Amino acid sequence: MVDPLPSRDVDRAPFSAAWFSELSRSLAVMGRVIHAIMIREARTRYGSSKIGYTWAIIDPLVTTAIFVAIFSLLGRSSPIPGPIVVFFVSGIIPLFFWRGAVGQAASAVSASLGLLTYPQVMPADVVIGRLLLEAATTVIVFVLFLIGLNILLGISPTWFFGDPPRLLLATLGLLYFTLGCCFLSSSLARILPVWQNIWSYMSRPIWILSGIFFTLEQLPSGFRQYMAYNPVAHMVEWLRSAMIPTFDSSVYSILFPMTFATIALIIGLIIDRMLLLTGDEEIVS
Amino acid sequence: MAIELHNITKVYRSRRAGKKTVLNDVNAVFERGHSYGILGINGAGKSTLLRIICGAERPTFGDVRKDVSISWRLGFVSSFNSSLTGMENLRFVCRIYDADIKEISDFVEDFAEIGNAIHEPLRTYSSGMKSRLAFGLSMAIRFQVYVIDESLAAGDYRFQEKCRAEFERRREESDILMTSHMPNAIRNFCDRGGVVHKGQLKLFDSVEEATDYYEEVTA
Repeated sequence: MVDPLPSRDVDRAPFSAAWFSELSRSLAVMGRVIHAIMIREARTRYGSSKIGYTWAIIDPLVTTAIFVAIFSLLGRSSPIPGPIVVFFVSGIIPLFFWRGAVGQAASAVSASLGLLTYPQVMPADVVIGRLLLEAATTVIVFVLFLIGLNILLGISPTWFFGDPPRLLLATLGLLYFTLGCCFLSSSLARILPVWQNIWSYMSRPIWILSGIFFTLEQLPSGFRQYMAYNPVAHMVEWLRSAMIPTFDSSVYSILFPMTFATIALIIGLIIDRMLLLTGDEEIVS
Repeated sequence: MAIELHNITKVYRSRRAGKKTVLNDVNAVFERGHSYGILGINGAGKSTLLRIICGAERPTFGDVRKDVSISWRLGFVSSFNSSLTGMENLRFVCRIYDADIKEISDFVEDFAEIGNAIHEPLRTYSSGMKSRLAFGLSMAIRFQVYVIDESLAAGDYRFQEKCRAEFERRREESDILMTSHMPNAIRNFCDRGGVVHKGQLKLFDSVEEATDYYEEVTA
């Protein structure tokens, strides 16, 4: 017999024993829903393909490889000491992760209306499930790149682990930043369906302006002033400083992207809650 | 207590048609140990009521309190992904309900009678196969209340008989909550009745009383 889902009990006081037991049961339900969604998304992302999730790896791998190859072959010298490939990979991979996750979040709810009829599946679960899947894919792609670069170009993986504790922090920072952006993106798409189109126009200039080709540090200060309004550029600069041993930028801010993410997260959650409370969303009958 | 509806109001908003109040301040208690059949003409709000009770949709105002596990609407197939196989869809449902995959798939394979097709993508299924899979899956997971929306009732006569027999076997542990616009359909399953009319839900202690009231208000 299936247990009843935890229900909002009107009588329980916050931080009481009953409140904590309800919280832990709700988190357990959320955990298994997110797990189930990740498996499902991995299988359906490339729906008609027989090899399924393998495509989810190959696709960003090939895209990233092509970009890295083109920019490296254009013969520009790296703005920082070290191989140019290291410079591009350290910027492109986090950026593609962020861009991919935010795009996935925009379509998360509209593509899952059928699932949302299960009472335990919430829009937030779909958003988080897609984000975690994107993160897992990025980690796999990154590891494959490390191996590939080492074998093909003889570039040691240590080029990407200059400062491991700082890299861990910057990675967690990127996850949080992406989480905030994803919630905002998902909520915007729910109240403004045109957001998905806007995002597809926006996402291209954003990644060109986010520091794949340059570091914030090398820009002339007048120009940098405007670039500094792009929180993504700060994230890329932070991650790059943590990764590359020969690079340590002094012009990026951690506080700015984290504040941006927090505000985005709060707005996203408020919209989500408002839509849930009014029950005003399109449903599948 | 089993399911309590407190001041449930549901308003649909549409850009073209404006606001439409489907349920207006509904209060009701569905007791454990009884099966309820809800009557109402097409468009009266029966399905909306069921969706709110099983949590597929939220009321505009009011709340639903429940201390029982409630199934999704039997035969509901829109939650299935057409590029996944029947088995993969089944596994997803097992995961979110924390049910044993082996046990559930054994039951469904036996109950739904779709044979090896369970390992084929859902887009290759006929609509009958899809709803047999959905029925089998909701029957396989042991809920305390099963929710049946007549508009989703599917399968040929023999399959429906099979469902009925299965419900008969579960009488002790599970109740049924179903909707229909035909009193005869609910008599088979339910011992209590209710009528949704003009945004209001009225419950009765017997199907007969509900039928009388239904005929009175719709005549």
